[in-house]
Amino acid sequence: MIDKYFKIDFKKKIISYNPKGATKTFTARQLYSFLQDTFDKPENMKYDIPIIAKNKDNFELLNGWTVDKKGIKFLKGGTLLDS
Amino acid sequence: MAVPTYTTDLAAIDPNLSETTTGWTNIGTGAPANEGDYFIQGSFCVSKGAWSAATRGLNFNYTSSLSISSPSAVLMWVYYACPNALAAESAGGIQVIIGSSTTTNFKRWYVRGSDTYTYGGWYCYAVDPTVTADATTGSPTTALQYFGAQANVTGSVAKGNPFGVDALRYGREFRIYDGSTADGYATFSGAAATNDSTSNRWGLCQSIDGGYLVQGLMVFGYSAAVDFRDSNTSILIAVTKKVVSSFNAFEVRNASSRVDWTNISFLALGTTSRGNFITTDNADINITSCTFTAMGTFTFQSGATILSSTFRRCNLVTQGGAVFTGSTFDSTNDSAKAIIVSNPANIASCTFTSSGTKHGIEFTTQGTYSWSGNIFTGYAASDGSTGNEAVYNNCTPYNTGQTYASSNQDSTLSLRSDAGGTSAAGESFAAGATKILSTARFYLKKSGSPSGSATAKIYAVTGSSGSYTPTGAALATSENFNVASLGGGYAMAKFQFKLTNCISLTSGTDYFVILDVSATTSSSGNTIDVGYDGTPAFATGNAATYVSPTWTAQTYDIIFDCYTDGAIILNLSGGGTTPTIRNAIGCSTSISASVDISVYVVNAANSPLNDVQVAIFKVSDDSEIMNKDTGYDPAGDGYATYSYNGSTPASIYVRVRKSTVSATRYIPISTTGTIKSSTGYSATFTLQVDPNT
Repeated sequence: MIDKYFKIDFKKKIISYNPKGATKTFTARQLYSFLQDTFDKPENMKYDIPIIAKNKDNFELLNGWTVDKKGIKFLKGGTLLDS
Repeated sequence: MAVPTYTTDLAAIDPNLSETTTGWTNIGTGAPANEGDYFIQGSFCVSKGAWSAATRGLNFNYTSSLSISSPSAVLMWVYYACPNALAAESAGGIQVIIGSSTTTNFKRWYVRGSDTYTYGGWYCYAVDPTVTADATTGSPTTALQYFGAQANVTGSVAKGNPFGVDALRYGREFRIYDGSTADGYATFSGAAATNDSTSNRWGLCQSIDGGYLVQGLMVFGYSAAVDFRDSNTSILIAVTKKVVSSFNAFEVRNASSRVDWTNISFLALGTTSRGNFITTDNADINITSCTFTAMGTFTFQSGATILSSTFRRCNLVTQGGAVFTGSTFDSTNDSAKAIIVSNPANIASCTFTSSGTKHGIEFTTQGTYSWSGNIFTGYAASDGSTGNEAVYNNCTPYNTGQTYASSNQDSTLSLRSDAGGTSAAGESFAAGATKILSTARFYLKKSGSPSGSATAKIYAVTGSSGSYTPTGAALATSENFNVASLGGGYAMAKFQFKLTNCISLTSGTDYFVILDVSATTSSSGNTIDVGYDGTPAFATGNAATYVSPTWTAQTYDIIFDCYTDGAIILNLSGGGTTPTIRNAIGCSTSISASVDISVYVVNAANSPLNDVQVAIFKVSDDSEIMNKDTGYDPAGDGYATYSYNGSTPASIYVRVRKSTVSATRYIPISTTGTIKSSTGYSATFTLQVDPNT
């Protein structure tokens, strides 16, 4: 379901909150799982994984990836550090 | 065929072969003696009475000047009974003399002395009169009329006739022909039996303990084919210091000849004439388990098969299409390479050991060849031009009509990759002949500090002659070229085309060769500068420049080369090492390996995991080699495999990932590796369950 809310720009390395008017929030852990699920698709194997888990609540972006301000706003629960 | 025949071209200088003293003169006092107490040939030699502390000898009058064509030589048996009384070789202990008058005008060649004639005995000395003499008595003319020998005796010798000369001849060939299964094969022992007959004693192939001592030219198949088969013996090539380098040789003639050597050791004792092997006609030659040490050059043709043999410290070997399998080339004595190869596919499972400064193999003929199991040791560790790379592609590339010389450069075009910049430029040309593309060159320098990789590309053309532009997709793309390596001054930069990019250019067809810097990091002030001629003079082409997204024809001409006929592609198999490469101008060498890639993925319990996405990419250009799930290969559960046919060694990065909604997710793995020509790539990865999803 999260895939309907977050959009990934592989070239610019930006993860953005997509739909206008949406208010649904997600945890950092949900974002982490979503990214892992996305980056094991054959067409995405050439890209570096953008995120690493410190534990179930703490995550860190890697390799120059960022989450845009809107996306950060809709992440509730857990910690996500910039790369 | 008939029973083997052994004969010679040796001709007598003394028609009596020293059976009489007719024509002989003493150098010093006394008369020559008709010596029957000792001799080497016939029943007599010519001897001379003892003398002390002087140089004395014997001389024969041929009565007219004799013509001897180098590399033929005078062959003369000489004996002295008191070796310890002689001067050293460097002081002319024993000398062969040839001159224009009896005792006053002759040249002297020092052939042995107390230090090199340690055990005495009869020696057959070969002297080529064209070789510079060690000393001269009087003022000999060019006439070769008097032939003999003398000894420089420093000690006291009083008894008998210690000095003898016998069988004075000239020439050099030992001729062998005929022989068959029914009649018996020609052999070294048969040759030596004829040579060693007292009526002959040619001094060309002499039986010695453990084998044979040879000198001169041994012709296999003279006038008729030979069937020569021999094994399990040793051949020593005599020390012949007073001849030219080609004097000692083994030559195979007559395409119907067969020469089989098995388990024979050949050793050259001297360095002046090491003994060459010459294939004059494409005979059936089979050399198995032989060893050639310190010999001269070898030239083979396609009818030769050389198995499990060693060429150690020999001069250049010329393959000539011959098959070499399991053979060794150790520390070549050639100035540049161990073997020059026209058909690389026929070189298999061979071992090359560098002497430190030379190539193992030089290629001369472009093409695609199989390449199996060859091992290189001690050569340069990386491609380059040190002269010690394992292989040297020295084909003769072609660029007629496909070049515009750097001497025409008078202007600079700056290329850069940022927005709005000119990111590519090139020149059209009409291919001069239908040949395989190998290399392109542009006249380049850098300004500032551009970085990243540029490529050369070949395109078809569109438009009108004189205003062509590139069209369509690139027909071929070169290997990456690091623009940071450019200098601040102009030089021709080489772009190599490899493997499938070695396309065929068709004679008379127009192409564009362009330089593309779009993948570089470059900008105003940090540019890749292309030399061009502002006054168009290249008759069959024009320049074009590219500012995204449009090509524009230009009225000037870019300096370039587009070479064909220099591409070697080696398809590796059967193990061995990947050779390091040196390419001559215009040449490119590709190493392609058909090797297995195998990735096996297990979980923490060491059980195979299926549906794991495994991807492998090349570091050089990020191209994908394999990208598939485990568990769908014949190799079985947990495996992802692939047969790789690209260049090796290939640096790769590997990604192993398994993460699916509503299923167990695993921590992804990312690593690097190398696809090797011998072993491909094989790895096992253990995926740990990701507790954080």
